[in-house]
Amino acid sequence: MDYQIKDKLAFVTAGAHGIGEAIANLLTQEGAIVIVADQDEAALRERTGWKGTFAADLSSAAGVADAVAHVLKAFGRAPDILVNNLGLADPVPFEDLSDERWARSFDINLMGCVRTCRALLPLMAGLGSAAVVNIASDLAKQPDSSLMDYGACKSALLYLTKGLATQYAPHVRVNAVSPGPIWTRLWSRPGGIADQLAARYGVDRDAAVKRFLAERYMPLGIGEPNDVAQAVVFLASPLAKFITGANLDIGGTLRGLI
Amino acid sequence: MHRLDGKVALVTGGYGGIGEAVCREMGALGAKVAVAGHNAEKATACAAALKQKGYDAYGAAFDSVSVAETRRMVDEVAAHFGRLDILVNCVGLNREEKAEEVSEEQFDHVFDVNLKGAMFQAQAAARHMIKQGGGGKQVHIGSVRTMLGLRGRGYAAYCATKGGLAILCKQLAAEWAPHQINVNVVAPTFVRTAQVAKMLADPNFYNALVARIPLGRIAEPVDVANAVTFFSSPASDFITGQTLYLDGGITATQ
Repeated sequence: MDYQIKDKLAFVTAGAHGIGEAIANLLTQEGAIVIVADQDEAALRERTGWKGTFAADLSSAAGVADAVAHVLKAFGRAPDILVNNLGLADPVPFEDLSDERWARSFDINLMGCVRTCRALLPLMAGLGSAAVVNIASDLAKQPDSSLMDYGACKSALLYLTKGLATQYAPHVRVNAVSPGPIWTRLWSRPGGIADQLAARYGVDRDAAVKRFLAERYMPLGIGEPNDVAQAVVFLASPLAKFITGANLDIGGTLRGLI
Repeated sequence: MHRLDGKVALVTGGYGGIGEAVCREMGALGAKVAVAGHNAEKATACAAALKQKGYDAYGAAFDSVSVAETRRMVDEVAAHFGRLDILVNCVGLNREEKAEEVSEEQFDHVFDVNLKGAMFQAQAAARHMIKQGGGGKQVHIGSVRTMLGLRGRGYAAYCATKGGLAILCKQLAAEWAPHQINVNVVAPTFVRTAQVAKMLADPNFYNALVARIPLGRIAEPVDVANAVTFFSSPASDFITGQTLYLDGGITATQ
């Protein structure tokens, strides 16, 4: 399967690690010219193979504006492909989610995408044919009481995807993917989800992850970043040129089962 | 980039507009292709055309409303190629009748072809995939009518069966996930095929149709084939039970 994206210009937000990094790498491997923005400057310096990187706090309006300006200057025009990957899930009980935490989550999980799209979509529409893929989450549709802020923002992201798909057709296609649990730093880092599950269940990390997968009925196990990247690149590519406003769930969660 | 070299793909309804495009893409990616349908001559001719392109192909005839015939055909294909890795079910039809006039005979026929046929094709294919080990891929063709009703038209049987197909595939995905068999649905809007050429030739119909589609055109068979090959390839190993709308944005507006 040839994704037909050779020499396409692509911008990936929050791409220094995990899912974003896998997307940027697969786009590059398939011949696209990729710029990655992320706040982790040190990690960006270690990455190779991409056309460029830009360090910025994409949860702020100024950070997004700087990153977009950099991309437009480096490419000399708007990108053909935009992947909005900024997001952070930090489990907190609903009662402990302060207004400040809600606002912070809103900035990271929704406004980063809103601000990037608002700046770039009118320019991408001028190209005649462009594609956006937003990274949502299975939590956009499947509630988790410890991630209310994250899930609510991801739900909004699905709405935004459909709305922008409608508004920017036929020039810009806008689709979303909703990954279930994917093995990234979010899970593996000290104090990450694996450690939190281990503490919750009172067992070691491996056993805790296994139990989580069994409780959620996830016979395919936990996903890898590349599982998400494959779907993102497909939706961004001309192979999906009749698909817009769609969401594709990625993961063994098989949401909708009880 | 993913290839399907060495994989055996069975495409039912394989010489129809969508099926034929699927067969071509499968062949181009290196799969061995079985073209199946009720018309033996057409299945053989389509397989011959694929062979001319240098692909390994086989034509098989079956009556999709017969469970026994379906099992026999699937076994025949698996025996011919020695295995079965991919099922693409492009069999489907519509018999339009106003809801207050739906006849038992026509409703049963649409149900038998669109939903019961899907179940037993899936089952026959899965039995081989489970026996072989190593998983498999199944893709069924849904419709925007999987999600949306259609005002002013007699679509009760079609909508009900295409809607049923989505939850059938979700359930099959759930049951067969331990065997690494992925079951997904590609749900297009109108596709430019010979089946609907007459309707599309009417400019009033065509213009009203595309006016509702944000991307401003209908689907081409290759659009569907590209999504089907994605769901048939290792690129989608972690995606199952899903319905992907390939509709130019129609369902996004709802």
